[in-house]
Amino acid sequence: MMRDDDDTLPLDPSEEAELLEALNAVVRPDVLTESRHQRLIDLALQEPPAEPDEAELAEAEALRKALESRGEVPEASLARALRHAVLPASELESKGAAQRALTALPRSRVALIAVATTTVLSLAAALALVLSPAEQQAVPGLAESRSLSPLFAGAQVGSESERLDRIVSVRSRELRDNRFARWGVPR
Amino acid sequence: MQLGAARVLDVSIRGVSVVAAPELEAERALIERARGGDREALGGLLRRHGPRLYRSVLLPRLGSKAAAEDALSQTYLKVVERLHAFDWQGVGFYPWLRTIALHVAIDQLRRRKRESLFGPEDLEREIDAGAPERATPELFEAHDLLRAKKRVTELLETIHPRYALAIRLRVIEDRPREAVAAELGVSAATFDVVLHRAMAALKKAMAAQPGTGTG
Repeated sequence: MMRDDDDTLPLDPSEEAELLEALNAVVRPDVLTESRHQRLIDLALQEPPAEPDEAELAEAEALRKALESRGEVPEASLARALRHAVLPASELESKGAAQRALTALPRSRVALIAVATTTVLSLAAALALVLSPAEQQAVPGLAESRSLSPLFAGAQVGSESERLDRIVSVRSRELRDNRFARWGVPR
Repeated sequence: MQLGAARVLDVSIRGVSVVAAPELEAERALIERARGGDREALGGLLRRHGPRLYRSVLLPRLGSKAAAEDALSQTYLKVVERLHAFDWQGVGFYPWLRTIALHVAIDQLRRRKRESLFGPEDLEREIDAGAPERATPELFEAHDLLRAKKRVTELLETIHPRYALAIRLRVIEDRPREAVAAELGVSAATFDVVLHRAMAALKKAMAAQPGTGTG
């Protein structure tokens, strides 16, 4: 039997299975069954859900409270069962501790924190708007022409052709991004 | 692996000898109907191109059926959301769909913890390689599949040849365990250990490459 240098990183069975599946996905890509594909298409094309009525809003509120350990509704039991089936117990415990810490805060203090956070974020957004050039606001999402000198801040690394390659690479990427943006490719 | 063929495709895909599909104009009409709110038209477009996108782009790059299906579903949602922004550029619907799928896959690779042969940077490079001028979906498919296989070849070239051989015979060519053990001149039980070490060496090789999705 052979080993190459210190070749073996720890590889547990699940990692090994994932690697095997990844290799198989390349060399023997499975086909997507027609029925499964149709299901994905139907999900994407379904009509947007209707607006909730009063009763549904009340049920949603009751579920939210139950999930925050403040009450009980049947859907909350189901949600907890799902959570326990997926997450390890230790993770659930830490989430529960965080939740308890949050609910232990007085409501007035929670409200104060929320207001303060919102205010700071609003001020930051307003400042950003004021400081942004007008052109940037006019064409959102497109990279603009600018100096590339920040690329070479500090010690100059590489030959002249390497620096040119770097400029070409950045400019090409921005050109492609702009083309994608105009093409309507969502990011 | 057919790296020579990949090079030939590279040349043709960059606009030398690629012929536009005859149904391009019909597809354009279908897109217009879909943009006008005809969900059956959009469904037709997705039914036509989705399976190719799944088997040649998403599944090989994400490495699991569940991840690829999830990415396909996300891609469709983005298509529905952004179809109004689609701008006809004379190359059909598939290149646009493929670019969206690659972006979705990049996001998924950035979030995930599981093992995968590709990293987000690999897919970014694929996008950076540029969109062909007039490639058909079939040519895209062949190109994407070859690129994925080339990635596997490159990774196997970085590990010990005996380990690479073990993976190639048992995993890629799917030969029986006993036959591969005999080929390597070891017992079946010893071969199990060799294959396990080969996979560990592959993981190490992937970890050594920046951007590869090792968890």
